[in-house]
Amino acid sequence: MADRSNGVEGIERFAARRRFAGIIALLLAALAVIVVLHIAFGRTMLSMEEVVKSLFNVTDNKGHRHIVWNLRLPRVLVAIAAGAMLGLAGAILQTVMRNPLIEPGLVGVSAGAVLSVVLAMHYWPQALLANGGISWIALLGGIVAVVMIYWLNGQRGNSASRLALTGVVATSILQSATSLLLLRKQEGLSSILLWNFGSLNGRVWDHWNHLWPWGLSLLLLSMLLARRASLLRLGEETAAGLGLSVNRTKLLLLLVAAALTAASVSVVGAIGFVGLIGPHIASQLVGKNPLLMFPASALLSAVLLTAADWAGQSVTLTLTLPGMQHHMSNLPVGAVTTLLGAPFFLYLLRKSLVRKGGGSI
Amino acid sequence: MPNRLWSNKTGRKATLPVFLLLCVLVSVFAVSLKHGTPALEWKTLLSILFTDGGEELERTIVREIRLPRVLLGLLVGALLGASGTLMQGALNNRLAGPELLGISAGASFAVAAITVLHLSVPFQLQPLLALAGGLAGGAAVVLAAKGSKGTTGMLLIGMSVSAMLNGLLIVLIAMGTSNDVNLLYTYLLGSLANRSWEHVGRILPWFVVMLPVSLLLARSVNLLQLGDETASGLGLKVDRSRIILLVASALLVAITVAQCGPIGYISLLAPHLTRAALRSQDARLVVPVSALCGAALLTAADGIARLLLAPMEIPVGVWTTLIGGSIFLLYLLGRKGGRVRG
Repeated sequence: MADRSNGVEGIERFAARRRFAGIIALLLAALAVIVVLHIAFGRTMLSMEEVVKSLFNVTDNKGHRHIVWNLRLPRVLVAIAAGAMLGLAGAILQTVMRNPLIEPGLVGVSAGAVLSVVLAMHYWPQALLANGGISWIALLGGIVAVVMIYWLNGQRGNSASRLALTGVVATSILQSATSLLLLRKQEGLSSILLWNFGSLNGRVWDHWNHLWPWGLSLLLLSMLLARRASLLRLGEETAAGLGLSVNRTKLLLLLVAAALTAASVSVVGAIGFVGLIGPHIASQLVGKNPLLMFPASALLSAVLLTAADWAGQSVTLTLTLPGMQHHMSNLPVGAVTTLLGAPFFLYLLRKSLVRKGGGSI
Repeated sequence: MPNRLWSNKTGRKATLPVFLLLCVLVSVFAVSLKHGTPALEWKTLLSILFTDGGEELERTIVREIRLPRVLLGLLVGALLGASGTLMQGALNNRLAGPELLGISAGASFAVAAITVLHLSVPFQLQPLLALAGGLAGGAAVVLAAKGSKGTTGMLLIGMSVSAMLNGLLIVLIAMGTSNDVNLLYTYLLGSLANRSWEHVGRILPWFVVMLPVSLLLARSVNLLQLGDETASGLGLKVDRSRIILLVASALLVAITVAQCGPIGYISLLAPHLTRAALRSQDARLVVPVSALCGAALLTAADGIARLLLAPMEIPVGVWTTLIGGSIFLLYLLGRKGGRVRG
């Protein structure tokens, strides 16, 4: 690409970079605001001043510091990390599969990872799972699932909506296998909900320590791969002509996406649709060049997931159903993202179907 | 009009599959009545069923627990099988099924709302509310799919509507008290466990009315299979009969959802198996036979769910999704191959 750029393109690219920087700054500001809001709202309401004071460790109130540092901050951080990872995974998958309808939850990665985690929790010694082993197991499950679905579908030509449908059906099969296992072990039915929908309730520093190395290393890796991914966008033949080993790049990117999803799933469960909305909006904002789109969608999805978690919490705090005023519980964040994401998916789907005149299968 | 010779021939072709299905059904019946804790001797079972023999405990178990459960499975399976045929006929889409088009999700949302919000609704009317929910879900899917012709598109739209409804359901569950929540989970996975004669009694009137109605509707399914233009040329009001078919099949599903929760993939697979076995598309045959087939499938699946991992019991809906979903996936992939190569 660099060879072909003349003066005009150079100026355009400069403008795109400036726009990109502006958008990133905006997103960071939004993230900061939401983090403060998220920490402030809860069963104990804190004022903005108290939040900032406790965050910078200059408050005298030990209770506040405990709430902020030990309960709310880790949860927010986990939300940010998980959101960013899911968004990045979605962006990678959408680029590799050249399919706007794809997200980690829809190609079976999340469900496969959840299934393998649940399997491992039942049949393997606890010692294996204690120090980070669970992410590797989730990774294995996620990769097996995505490779299988991609391969099954790729056997007979590729089509956007068919891949999505195959993924959806496979996801429901994997989910029911998970339910089967959990029920068999009398795990308590609520854990099915937690795993299959995803939740941020009760996440602590352990989870964050577990999550960030994966997130950071994979983010760097995917940024290294972004240039190759941008060649992929030119079409497979052109990319091969430019000297890219197409299949290896695709496989590598798929593995990175699977690893991102699996790591976040092993901590927060299968949170759906974040990886769909984030990359889509990001590509509207900064264009489809992976170099810009990958970081933007990671950041945007982090904002989205944190906001969704905050919304879920405030809804349960302010709205109570008749008859259960004394009952307090948190809305799992997966429910919020599904409620937001499913209509969005519907909109994307309709757009792609109507434009193509349907009949794509 | 199809000539008499042809329908005689299909009639004869139907004898063997129907006979086989009846055999399966009877043996499933016998096995599920006999086995479990305690397992009975055949002689004891017969004497319990036909005379007043056996010990009182055994009599109670067979008559009050196992028999209603199998019967309920039979009724629900039959309704689901018939509903699947009608729905696939109405949409002219072999991949349609209530679990994929938002109908099951809508109906179960309605039932969940009744449970969690403690609405006082008489049991006999619950199917109607479930119907309202199911119709709302189905209508949303059909409206959203308007203008897009692909089969896959419609299914994906159905899936995203179902996802939304499930999200709402989770909101309800999260706000409910934990007692209801456990009950709701077992219900939402689709189960025939802990059902009594009461449940059979609730479903029976609907069954008696709706099964003949769906047989009556078979004629319009036949006409719709010829394509919209031919059908309207033969004097069928296409849009109206399509809506009637959809409402009827949604009602069939809603009845079962109100009693047993959403049991997936039975109504999707039963018509396929039936058509393959009969080698016929004639809906007048397919509707009753696929009702039979659905009944056999569901009772067999429930028997497996109860006996395979005893004493632990897995809700039958988990099994049907696991097995039926895999078969559906294979079918989906195989079908595409035929299309591309052909």
